[in-house]
Amino acid sequence: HVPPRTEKMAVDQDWSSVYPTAAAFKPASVPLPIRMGYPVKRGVPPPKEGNLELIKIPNFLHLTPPAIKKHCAALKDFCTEWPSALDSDEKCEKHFPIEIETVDYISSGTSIRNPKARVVTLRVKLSNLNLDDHAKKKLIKLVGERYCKDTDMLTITTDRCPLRRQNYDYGIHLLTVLYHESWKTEMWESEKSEEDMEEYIWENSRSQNNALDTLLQIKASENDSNVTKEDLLASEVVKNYRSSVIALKNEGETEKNMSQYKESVKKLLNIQALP
Amino acid sequence: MWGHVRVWGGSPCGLAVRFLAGPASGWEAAGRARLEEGTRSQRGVCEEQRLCVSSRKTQKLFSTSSTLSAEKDESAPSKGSISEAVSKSQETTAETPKQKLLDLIGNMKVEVSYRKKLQQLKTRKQATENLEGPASEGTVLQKVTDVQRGKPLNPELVEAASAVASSLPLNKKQTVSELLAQLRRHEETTDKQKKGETVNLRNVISEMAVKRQSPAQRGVRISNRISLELYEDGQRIMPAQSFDSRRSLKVGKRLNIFTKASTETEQALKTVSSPTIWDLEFAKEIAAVTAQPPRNGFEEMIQWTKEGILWEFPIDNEAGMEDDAEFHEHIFLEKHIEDFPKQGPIRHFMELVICGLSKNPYLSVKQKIEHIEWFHKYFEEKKEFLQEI
Repeated sequence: HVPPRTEKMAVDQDWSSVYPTAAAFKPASVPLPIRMGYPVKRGVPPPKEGNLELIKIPNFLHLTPPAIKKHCAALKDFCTEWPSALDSDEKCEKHFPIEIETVDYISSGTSIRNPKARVVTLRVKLSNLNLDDHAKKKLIKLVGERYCKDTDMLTITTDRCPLRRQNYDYGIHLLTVLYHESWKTEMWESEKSEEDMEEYIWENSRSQNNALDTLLQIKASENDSNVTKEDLLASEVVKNYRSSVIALKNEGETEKNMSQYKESVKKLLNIQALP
Repeated sequence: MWGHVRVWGGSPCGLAVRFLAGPASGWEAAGRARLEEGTRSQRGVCEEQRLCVSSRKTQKLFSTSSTLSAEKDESAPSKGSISEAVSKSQETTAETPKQKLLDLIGNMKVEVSYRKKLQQLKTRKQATENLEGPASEGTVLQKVTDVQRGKPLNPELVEAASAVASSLPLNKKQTVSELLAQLRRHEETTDKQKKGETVNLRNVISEMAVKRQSPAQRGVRISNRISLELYEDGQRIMPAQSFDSRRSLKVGKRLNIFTKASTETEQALKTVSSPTIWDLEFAKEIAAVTAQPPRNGFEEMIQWTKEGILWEFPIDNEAGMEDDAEFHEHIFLEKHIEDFPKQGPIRHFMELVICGLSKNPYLSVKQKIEHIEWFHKYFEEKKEFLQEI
């Protein structure tokens, strides 16, 4: 009978020509003494000849490192080089601030279609957009949940259209519209009340009024009525109080903030530290 | 410049004249007038020939990179000096474009005549002599001039030629014969042009005997160059192809008998772009017969990809899915509910319908519009009912 091919194989043969593409395990073509399977009692795993276990499993005999090198060399002609000027993430972000994310799905089946492939995600940092204070606040209000405060990232995900390119166009359209709308000031925006504010503003707040009233009363009781509101506002203690209140409101209650507030109140009301 | 002019040599003289960028001067206008009149008296011919000689020579002085002159390079310097002598001796004054044209034609004819000679004489010796250089050319020329030219040249011209030759230290006989041959060629060409024939060069090259290596080579080269010029306005035909097969169909020809160059290229394009069904079937048959079973896994994968069994990489999940509509047609559907009343529950309802449709990626734009139309019709029908209520 014909001896298997393995006996004629040289040690330094070109393996990528034995297994150029993915193929089943052929025991007569693979010159390795492999055993696989559950051993019979007091025996060894069965040898490779006629071993269904070896044939069933997927093998990577066609993807040895030299074979992969050859693939890369062949594919290199179809590739373009990464632009050498973009060698860091910061540079990439500086020149290309908008990131587009699309997903392609591979499956083993007759149909190539996958409805999840139409989803397009746009990500952009608001610091890269040219927004002034009002515009930024308005934009954040408009997008709502799509903005992440920690990373300063606006994420727009579109999947309302059947095709990916349509979704991409729609995403870009949304971004443009948001940008332009946030720069515009509508008439009814002047009716913004204190509840709508994103951050605490001390001017014209209740805290300011209270503090000023208290101080005025103190001064009045001391018969020092020459002092005006502006003077009080400009005074050191009031400024101190102001900054501590703002810190408390915006950043929340921390040890530092609380102690700062305590000090500023003491100074404001001229309370001496207890002995 | 030479090449271009050579090409246009066959076309009406006036055209060629315009292209000449040589020593142009005031005579050109006069020359053109003369040309278009087409005076062909014997004397006129002689004058032309005389002047042709001189102008040709002067032209030769200018030419540096042309096939014809290159091939006669060795003769060119000699001729150049001859021309100076000639011009001195003959006191050439009017170097009309006509003469230039005739010169060029004459030069072309030089090539032609060389080959004709070879064909006619059909002697190995001739060929080898030709290969060697101008010396041999001279002798061959001589023989040809003796044999071929029936029309006698103007004796004055002959004298002038001999005078020139004698004034030079070179081979007298050779130069004389060359000059005379050239003059004869001018005559012939002018006669032919008179009759309205197209340039002989192409004809000659097509008649060319392919036996000798050198003439064939030269002919191919020239025809390639000419064909290059010709096709410049249309396509550019690869000269490399004709170099590969010296005796290919692309050598020379293009008689341009029927139409001008540009239309011919169009025709060529047309025939290529619309193959008949039979051609397609034939091609398929050939492909089927010659198709070998795949030798390795890669070829098998190629075959599967062609058949559609294997997907095409890089994988595009939307491959083949056509939807020409833009995103705004899917999403902004307000314009379709303009027919509905602006207020009221119907409007409210339709706005919701539109909102839902705009978020639906599984319907085409057409289907969405149909949806809205259905509602429109429905409400129209029910209008009577509603109004009753």
